Amino acid sequence: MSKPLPPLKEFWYFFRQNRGAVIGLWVIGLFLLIAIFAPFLAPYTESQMFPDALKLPPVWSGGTADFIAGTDDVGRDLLSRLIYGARISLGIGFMVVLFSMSIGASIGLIAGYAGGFIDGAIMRGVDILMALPSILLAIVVVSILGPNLFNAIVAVSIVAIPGFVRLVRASVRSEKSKQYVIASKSYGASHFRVLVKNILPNCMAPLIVQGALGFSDGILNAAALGFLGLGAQPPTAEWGTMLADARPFIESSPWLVTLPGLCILIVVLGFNLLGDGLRDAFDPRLKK
Amino acid sequence: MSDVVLSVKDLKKHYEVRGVFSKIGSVKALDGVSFDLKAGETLAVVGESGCGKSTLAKALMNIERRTSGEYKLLGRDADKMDGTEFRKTIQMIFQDPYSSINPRKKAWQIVAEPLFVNTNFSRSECRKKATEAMEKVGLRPELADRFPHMFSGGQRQRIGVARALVLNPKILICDEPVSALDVSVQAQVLNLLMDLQDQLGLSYIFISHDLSVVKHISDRTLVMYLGKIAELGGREEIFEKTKHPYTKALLASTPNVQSGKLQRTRPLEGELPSPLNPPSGCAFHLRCPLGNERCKKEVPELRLLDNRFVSCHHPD
Amino acid sequence: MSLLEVENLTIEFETLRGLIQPVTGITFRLEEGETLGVVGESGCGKSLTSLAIMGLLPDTARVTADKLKFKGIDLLNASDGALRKLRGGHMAMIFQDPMTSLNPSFTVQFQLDEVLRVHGKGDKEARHKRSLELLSLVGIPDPISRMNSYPHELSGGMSQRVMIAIAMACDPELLIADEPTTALDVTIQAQILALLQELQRKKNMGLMLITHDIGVVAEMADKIQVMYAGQIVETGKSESVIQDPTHPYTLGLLASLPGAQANVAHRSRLKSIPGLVPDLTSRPKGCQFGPRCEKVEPECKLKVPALIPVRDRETRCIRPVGGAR
Repeated sequence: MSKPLPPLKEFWYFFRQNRGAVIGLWVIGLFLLIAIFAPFLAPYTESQMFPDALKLPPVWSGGTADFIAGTDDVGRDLLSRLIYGARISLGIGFMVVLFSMSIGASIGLIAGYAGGFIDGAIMRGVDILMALPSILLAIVVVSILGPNLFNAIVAVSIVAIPGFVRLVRASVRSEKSKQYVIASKSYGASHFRVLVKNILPNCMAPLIVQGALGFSDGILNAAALGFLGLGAQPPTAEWGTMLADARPFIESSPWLVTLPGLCILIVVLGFNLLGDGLRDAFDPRLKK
Repeated sequence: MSDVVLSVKDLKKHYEVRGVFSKIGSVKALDGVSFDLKAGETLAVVGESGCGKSTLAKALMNIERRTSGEYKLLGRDADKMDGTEFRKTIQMIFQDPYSSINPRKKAWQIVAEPLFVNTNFSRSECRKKATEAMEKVGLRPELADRFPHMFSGGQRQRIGVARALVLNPKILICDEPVSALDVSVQAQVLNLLMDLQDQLGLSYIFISHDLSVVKHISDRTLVMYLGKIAELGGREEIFEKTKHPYTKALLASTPNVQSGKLQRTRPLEGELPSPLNPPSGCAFHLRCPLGNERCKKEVPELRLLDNRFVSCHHPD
Repeated sequence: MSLLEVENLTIEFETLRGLIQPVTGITFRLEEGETLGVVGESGCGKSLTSLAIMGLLPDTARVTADKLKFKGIDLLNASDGALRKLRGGHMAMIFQDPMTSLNPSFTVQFQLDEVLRVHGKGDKEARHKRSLELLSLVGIPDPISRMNSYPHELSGGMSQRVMIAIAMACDPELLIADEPTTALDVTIQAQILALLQELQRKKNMGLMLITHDIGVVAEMADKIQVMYAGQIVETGKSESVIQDPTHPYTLGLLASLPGAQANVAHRSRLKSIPGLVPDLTSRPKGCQFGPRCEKVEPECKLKVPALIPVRDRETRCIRPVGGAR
């Protein structure tokens, strides 16, 4: 019998095999650093206005070095807004994953473990949630709660819950039939102990993967709400809101639309690549 | 030696099979099983898959609710025992050393789980007791912090044995404890089980499909067929002076290393009938070489005959 | 010309911890009508060997051999098309788990018909007739109604019979059975083994029976081949190898089986082989069994011993044991 590597090292080996995942990790890391150190990196604050520099193009298409990425229609520095926007977008992603994962995983645990009627009731509820187009559902939730950033996060989290419920329920059901669960019942472990201490740790791998992918969905959906004017409200430097604000100038000042859009694209792509890499690294079938 | 530590009388476990709207029928996984287990004894339970031997283990461990029947542990009604007391009396070793231990926990944590649940020991006391149990089964204390994937199959099974022993039970139910292991490792685990029995005075219910293993380590053997006892007796009665035709067929089917190349015969035609729709009379009569009209109509009673219990109209 | 000739077969895999050789230098022959039993514990390379013969190893495996010939046809350099014709046509294989070897979405009839169609055995009507014949050949009661069954409606024993029927579809000259009865109950195992023997006699097939159960080999095989860590450690007539082993590993394997010796006392401690199978990434020097062998000598560590003739068989040990009889 061959000696296996320590789990973390083995995980890293398989993760590294996937080029895209490593790039994704770098991208996320970079944006994370930008978000953390935003006050030090940004030349100005996100709401500082320069009335004599309206809609200035970026430096590479004839702008000045004072405003590297140009300025918007009220004379705010676009680069600073994008940098602060990283904070908001990553923050949104994090909150969405935190909310939807904790709630979704708990519901999924219960559904998968209890089975029978409870399972049926929960899963039909989930089916209904999933039958609605996600952005439509988010819009409904926001219009009930009122449009602001926090409510947008709540709405996007609710949209993301069914995915986690299904995922966790499926892995609980496969773990539940394993002998170690029967063994823990045989020495008298409580349901809570069996579920949380024995089953949950074995469902973590798919949960982490879904979490990474949930990040990008969360950011994307929140940006979409922002674009529709239902998420973060101006003057918040949220990428989606910035896109919406810049829409009237799409022909005259294309950089105002392009740059926030590009940021969303890169971050979402980064998380998706990371998620795929995590999935490959966790999947034992690919390890042979 | 002769005091009974475990006894069941007329134990039944019926599963209801439900269709969409109504009950379709019931599967009699255990249908009136009675036996005693004496202190320090190994009672083997053999039979093919679907005969109810795994259900028996689960019913005895309170993992499955018993439909009816009397179950006594150390002379007391098991239903009236408190959970912790019950679990300090009887524990179980599982078949598959890979799926029966939690892959995300360290060895000592796996072994200590029953202590966390059933005692008030502090974490460090639990760890101490767990490492002691590991030493009893031949695992060095420095292995305590390793995760299961770093152990071989045999070592994993030892972890399972240590976990069953950590509450100092009197009775162990061993559900196919060696069938997933390679032969050379199987011998190590069998030796360990025999050593532990001698040292700790344990009683075993040893569930297995491998008759050569059973013959080697059991004192008495219970042969099951479709939820019922076919034959129950000592080594000599079961393996030498066999009476029940099913026991005979099992023995004849078991490959024998000593036999040399031979023209194989089919000791039994047919397969295990569906437990949902068992044959009338003797459940074995369709496959039995001696089956006749009487077997078709009358269910044979379990009766004492030449020092063993047997349920057959035509015992040899 | 032998039915199957294997000389110096080696299988390599590139893994994250370097190159491993799960099978090294396997050499054997199988004649028509002969049964070869391949025994060994998990990881000894017995299944890989059979997959290499069938050409069913994944692309990541590197297979090399001085000779790998089926009826004189070189299997290593054969074209894909030629191999496909051989597989299922002239050589067939059955696997351990009959439940997953059958495709759950198709009926028995469809799966039987497919093999016959692929190998061009007649028109629809002829194939239907042949399918029925095959099912009765493998002893399936009421073959006409069974034709329309799906795999989940069959028991383990029945599924294995269907697998055997599919394997027998084109009257193969070589049948490789990889643990064909491990997943089955003893009485069903006895039925399947009897069936295999009967088919072999009728068709004069070469049968390569891979198993971990020495008892099965003892009752079925003419020749036995004991494998350890990817090598053949002992090979010869099955009766003489089992009655009087020359390699310490064979001896240890037999001694650890309860019931292998007639005179073992009830509840006596069984002999077991200490230690573990070597890690393929860091194989021991010299004899692969050395670190677990009771009779190991300094000389054993110098180089891998060659298979040498001892009494009436070959063994990979410089100090063969036994010889009482």
